[in-house]
Amino acid sequence: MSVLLSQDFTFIVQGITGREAVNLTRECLDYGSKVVGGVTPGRKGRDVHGVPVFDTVEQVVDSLGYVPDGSVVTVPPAFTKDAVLEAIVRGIKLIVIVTERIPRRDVAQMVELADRQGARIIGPNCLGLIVPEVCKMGGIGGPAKDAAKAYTPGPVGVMSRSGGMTTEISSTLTAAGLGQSTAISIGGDAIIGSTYAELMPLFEADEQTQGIVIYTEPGGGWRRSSPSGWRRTARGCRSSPSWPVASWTTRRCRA
Amino acid sequence: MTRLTPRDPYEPSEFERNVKAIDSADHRGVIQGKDHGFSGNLGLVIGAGGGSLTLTDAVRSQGGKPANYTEIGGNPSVAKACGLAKEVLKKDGVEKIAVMMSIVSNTRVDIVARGVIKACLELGRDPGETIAIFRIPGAWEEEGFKILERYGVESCDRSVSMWEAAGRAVAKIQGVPA
Repeated sequence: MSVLLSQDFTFIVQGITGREAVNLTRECLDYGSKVVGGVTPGRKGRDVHGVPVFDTVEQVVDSLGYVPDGSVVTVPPAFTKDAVLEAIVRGIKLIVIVTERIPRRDVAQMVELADRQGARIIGPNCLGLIVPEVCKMGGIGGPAKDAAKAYTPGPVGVMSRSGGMTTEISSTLTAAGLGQSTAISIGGDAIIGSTYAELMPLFEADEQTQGIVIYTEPGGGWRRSSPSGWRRTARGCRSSPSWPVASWTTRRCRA
Repeated sequence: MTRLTPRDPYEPSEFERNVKAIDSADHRGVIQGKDHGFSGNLGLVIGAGGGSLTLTDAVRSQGGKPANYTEIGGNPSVAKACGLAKEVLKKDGVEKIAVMMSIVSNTRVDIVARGVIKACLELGRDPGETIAIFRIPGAWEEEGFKILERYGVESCDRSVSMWEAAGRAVAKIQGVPA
């Protein structure tokens, strides 16, 4: 069991021919993830590490004969909304937005449409998520050999606004002999697709998860979505999980 | 130390303007720098978002006096990392810099290492003396640590916690054994 990802999870990379996306694709393939297609308008017919590139998501779906489970979006900020809306309209249900500095209005529209269409957005400005030794969706953990150092299978869920701290916390847990069920970099922007409160029920429903570590930081309405906040606001979330919740808020560094 | 009130207009410092100009000149990666209210002697070349906040907390909690705050992320170029480190080193009162991040996924350790060493050399400073600690584990760390070793820079991997690395930097600048 795990949260959101599984061994058979398939996803595409939108913006796959970009510098960071090429690296990300290599890292995910090396980790064993099933990257089944890529999209960059005007680049149809090319391939990135053996992954075929198309002009549109529709072409990927037509070529595959099925709708992939997810998409990692790593395109420039001005074009991210179009890319995400395209993925949602084509039926993709889990969208990881890596891009940062996207206009807030665009993010609000993306999140709204995802909500209406039953899709889930992780990010923006995130590194994605990982189920150790099963699937890595996004740049989380970096190259496969580095991801393997930090992430090991186990009972602890990890959620963090900071991508780097997601890996730092998981690495610390691993060093202490505690593996992770799923680790999610939820994104550092003011508006994000999935808050702690919205993801917590998934961990609660996961048989593997026996505890959770949450890292948060000031800004972006974190109080509403922090551990104390989710107890009050999360619909469908139990008021008190049966397992331990450890949370850490950085806040003292102001001048 | 100056403190802003909510009614004061925010006027970026020279350091902040220069860092922003370096960031804008190159689309690869992101660097940000602040120094309003900071007046210490330990320059911070740190990242990423959460890592920077946590590391600044760790430095302060152990008695260190940061000269600034920075955020590195998104795999910046050597030129960008170099430019940021030079701006930090050029600040009045900075004696040493601490180069630290949480475990990196896409930012390459070797690129940041090359950038900060280049900054030291271009300013005529010995990297081994100037860089109090280099603690960036993660992508391309083996390559990065080899470069740092060549210049006599103390580096540490993920087995040294962020707290411990910050403590070593503070101890070094205070001239006491870590």
